Amino acid sequence: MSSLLLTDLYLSYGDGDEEVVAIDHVSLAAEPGELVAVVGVSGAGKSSLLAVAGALRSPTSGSVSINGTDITNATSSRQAQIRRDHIGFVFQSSNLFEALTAREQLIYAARIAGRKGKDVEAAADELLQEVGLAAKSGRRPGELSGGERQRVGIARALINEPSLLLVDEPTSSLDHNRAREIVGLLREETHRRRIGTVMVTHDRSILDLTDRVLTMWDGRIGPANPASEE
Amino acid sequence: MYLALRELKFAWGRFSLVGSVIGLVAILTVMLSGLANGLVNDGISGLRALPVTNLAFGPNSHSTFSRSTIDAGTVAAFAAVGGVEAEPLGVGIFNAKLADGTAVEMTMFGLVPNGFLASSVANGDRLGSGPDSVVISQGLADSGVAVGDHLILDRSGLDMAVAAVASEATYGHVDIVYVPIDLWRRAAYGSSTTSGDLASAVALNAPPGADLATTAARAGVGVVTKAEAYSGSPGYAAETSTMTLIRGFLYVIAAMILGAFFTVWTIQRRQEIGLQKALGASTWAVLKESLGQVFLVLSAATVAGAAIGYGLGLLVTGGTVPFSLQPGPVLAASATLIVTGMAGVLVGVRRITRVDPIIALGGAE
Repeated sequence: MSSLLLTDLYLSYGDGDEEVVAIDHVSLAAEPGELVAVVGVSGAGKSSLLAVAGALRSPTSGSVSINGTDITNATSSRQAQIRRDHIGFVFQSSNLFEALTAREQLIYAARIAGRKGKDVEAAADELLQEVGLAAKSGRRPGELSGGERQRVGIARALINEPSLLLVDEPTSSLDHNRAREIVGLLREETHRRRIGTVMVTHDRSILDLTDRVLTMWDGRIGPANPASEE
Repeated sequence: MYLALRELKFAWGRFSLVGSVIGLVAILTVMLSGLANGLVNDGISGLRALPVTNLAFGPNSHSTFSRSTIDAGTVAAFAAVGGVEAEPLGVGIFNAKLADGTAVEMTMFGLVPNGFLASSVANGDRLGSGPDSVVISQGLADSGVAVGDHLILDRSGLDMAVAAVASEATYGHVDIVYVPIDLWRRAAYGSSTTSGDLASAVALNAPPGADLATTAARAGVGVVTKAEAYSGSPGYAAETSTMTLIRGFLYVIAAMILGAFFTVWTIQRRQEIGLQKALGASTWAVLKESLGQVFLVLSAATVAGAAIGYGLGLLVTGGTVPFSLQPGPVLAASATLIVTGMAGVLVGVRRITRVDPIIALGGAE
């Protein structure tokens, strides 16, 4: 069963009198334990793809299935439930809550999913250990470096044991070495936890760490050689 | 409330600022509450202390003692109603002088010696114990009038001997002197032979369900409850409505402050609200966090402000300013402040429900 299965996906929206096609009949599958990179220039439709795959948007047509559950026409409350139960998000610039410590970021994400207690705290500590931040678990985002914040973001995305990990430009604010470390961590967690991971990025220097690379342009998608230039 | 409580701790400066403003409003509200109560007490405490359920006033008097006149026949008609105690009551404000020339302003309550009204007044049994003996309230005693002094009424020259001191009681913001009804009549109406059975109103102590209306209609007088009669006190309606208006404005101000704060705070937190939703939090869960956070700040600030206001009020109580604090009105004012404050916050709720979780994705807006 695919972690993510997009079939003939089409998404358009109105922009004044015009209709803009954000996703143009795209089909894509991410299998458990597979890290799929989607590359493309700005405006290619990468973030729209993540929005639909992440149950943040409903497609105009086509279908979306997460871990075997069809969510194409889910209501907004059902979409929220899908996000809680099945999806982990790693956002651009980490997107952490400024008032929470690294450990609290994870615990809060678990509480949103209805989990709390000692087990959650232990899982949070274990995850922070995994991403190499055990010593900084009490620090808030303002006290962490960009790479450390992104590691917290990854740990937070994993706390509810999702079947699908959606990653949005995780290296946009990192230098080359830090970027490779972060994608390496994503690759390791994807393989070890058997999660299907879809990562959108414009950073071609990290594509060799992924399992499959797809290129997106004008809302369409196709295979590409990771080494090729756009 | 997991995130809300930590945000309160993290951004305590911002919350302290709005909390201080709400606290100040709470202090003002409590002080105004004490002032309003004090003014009410000062206006009607003497009337409120009398053991009456109703008062009958003469026609077209609008429950005002100075405009009303009733006669002995009216008193007798009410006294004939089963279970009803009825007595004439004279009320009027007079000026007098002590022997040393000190001017004294007083509200004279004319009571029937040994009647049910006089019996309710502390040392009321001394009323009429000697020729023109009167009982003064504590306020007059505090201002220097003593037992044994003589009060000489202006114009009429009536000489009243102070026989005893009753507890604190005022009417129309003037200290009360309890006098025998006959003496009151001489002071109010002079020595006219037709004034022998007149008074300002009929004081009634009636059991529940007593038919006073029929008797009132036959006698051509109006019957009101004791509370309704308070509005006849000089300045009472104007004072209470002014205080109510000021308190109303304070509640509106509190609601506007909180509404503005919450709106700005929500706008600032738009990205975090989107993130909460993107992580799967329902709109209701996000609302609970946000509203709960404001409720905590509002409640804590109100309680602190009310406590400070209460403390300040205790310092003022007993001075020259009419001020009276009671837990009930203070609690009611605090609760109203919290309710109106939360009502103001609701203005910003729509901004939370409208936040699209997609904003958590940088490029997808």
